[in-house]
Order: sequence, then C-alpha cells, then structure tokens
Amino acid sequence: MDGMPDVSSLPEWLRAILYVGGLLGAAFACFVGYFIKGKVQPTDDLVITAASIADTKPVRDLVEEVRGLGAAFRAAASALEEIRDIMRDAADEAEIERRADERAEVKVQRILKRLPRRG
Amino acid sequence: MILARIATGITKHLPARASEWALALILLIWALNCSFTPGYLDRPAWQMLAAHGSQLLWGCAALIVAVLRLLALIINGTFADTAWSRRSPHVRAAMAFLSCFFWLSQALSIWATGTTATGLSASAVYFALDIYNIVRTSTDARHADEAWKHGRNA
Repeated sequence: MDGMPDVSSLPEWLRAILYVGGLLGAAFACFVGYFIKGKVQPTDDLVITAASIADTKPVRDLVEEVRGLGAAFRAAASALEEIRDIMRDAADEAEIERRADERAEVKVQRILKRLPRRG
Repeated sequence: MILARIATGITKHLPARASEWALALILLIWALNCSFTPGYLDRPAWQMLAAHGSQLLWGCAALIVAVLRLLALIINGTFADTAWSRRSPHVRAAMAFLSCFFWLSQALSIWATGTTATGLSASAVYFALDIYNIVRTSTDARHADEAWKHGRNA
C-alpha cells in the first residue's frame, strides 16, 4: 500500500524485547498480587470476611454448638427447679413432723401431771 | 428480579472496579470495530497487527476476552456469596492478563508505524492500568482461595 507507514521503523529486536518484557511484567504482577499481596497474614484472618464471616464453617459449627449448649442449659434449669420442689416438700414434711412432736410432748406432759405422785 | 439484582450488584462494586469495567468496555468496542468494520486493520496504525493475524482473528480473540471479562465482573459483583463467585476473581485476573496482550500489541503497532501519538499514549496507559488490575484481581483470587480453604461454602 502506498503511503502506509514503514512497520519496520521500530527494530524487530526492540519490539520483541518490549513484547516479552511487557508480558513478563504482567505475569510478575500476577505473582505479586497472588503470592505477596494476597498472602493472609497471621493477624489478617478477618480478611476472609470478603462475603460474610457467618458463612464460614467454623462459625456455623460454633452456632450449632451454642444451640446445643442452650438446650443443655434449659434441661439443667428444669432439673434444678425439680430439685427445689423436692426440697420444699421435704421442708414442709419436716415442719409437720416437728409440730406433731410438739403436740405429742404437750400431751405427755399433760398425762404426767394427772398421774398421782408417789410419796 | 434477576435484572434488579444484577443492577444492584454492579452498582455496589462499581467504585472498586471502575477501571476493570472501563477497560473491558474499551476492549469490547475495539473488538466490535475490528470484527465488523471492513478494512479496519488496513488503517496505518494497525499495520503491525495486520502483519501478525487477520482482522477476524484479532476481532474474535478480543471479543472473547472482553465478553468473558464482563461476565466475570457481573458474576463477581452480583453473586459474590454463591458458588458462582468461586473462580470469578481468577477469571478477572486471567482476562486482565490477556487484555494486556491487546494493549501492548496496539501500543507497539502504533509506535512502530509512527501514526498517532494519542493512540500510543492511550494504549500504553491502558496497559499500565491493567497491570495494576492484575495485582488487585490476583489478590482477590488469593483471598477467595483462602476463604474457600477456611471453610466458606464448604
């Protein structure tokens, strides 16, 4: 084609170097992003909150465990309530027994007073 | 419903990924021009490209990269909490890398033919911007891998 620029104005070797250099640069950028900048630091565990930390397996497991703990706590509270009832019944029975003893003692005293005295 | 979700997802992530969207659209427009404009690579600036491949080849290759990049951006922005997003940061990184090839080829072609200084600076800046995008998307890909490894969606 007449009037078209000469493509060879940029030397072939320089073009090749620029091509390879540019693509190697892009590959290096990939390496930097993935292996250096993307590396999760020990204190950066919360980086995984890219979506939601509630979606992570450990948190889901923890929620299940806490639910189980809640059920166990409710069962323990109910058992404690039962124990308290039994203790209340026992206290009532003891009180009834004590009053019966008192009444019996009064009766015995009364009977003893009526008995004729010797000598 | 799905359109509303896509629109919301794109709007939400646009500020963080504006350069990726812009470069994907620029490549898409260039690919469409290359594919459908007769004699596009006969223009002086693209002589070096024409020497290395047909117009259809350049156009189709650029079109595939641009479309995949746009799809990955939509998926990664809209369906971030689903299994679809598992590999979308990797696709974004790979497409940014492949886009670099087109920007570099364009810049070198314009430089080699000594045609337009504006075109050269634009393509060179697109190349530099996509290098930056590669770093960011690779970091996102690593974080997605780490999140997967630590049990998300497991």
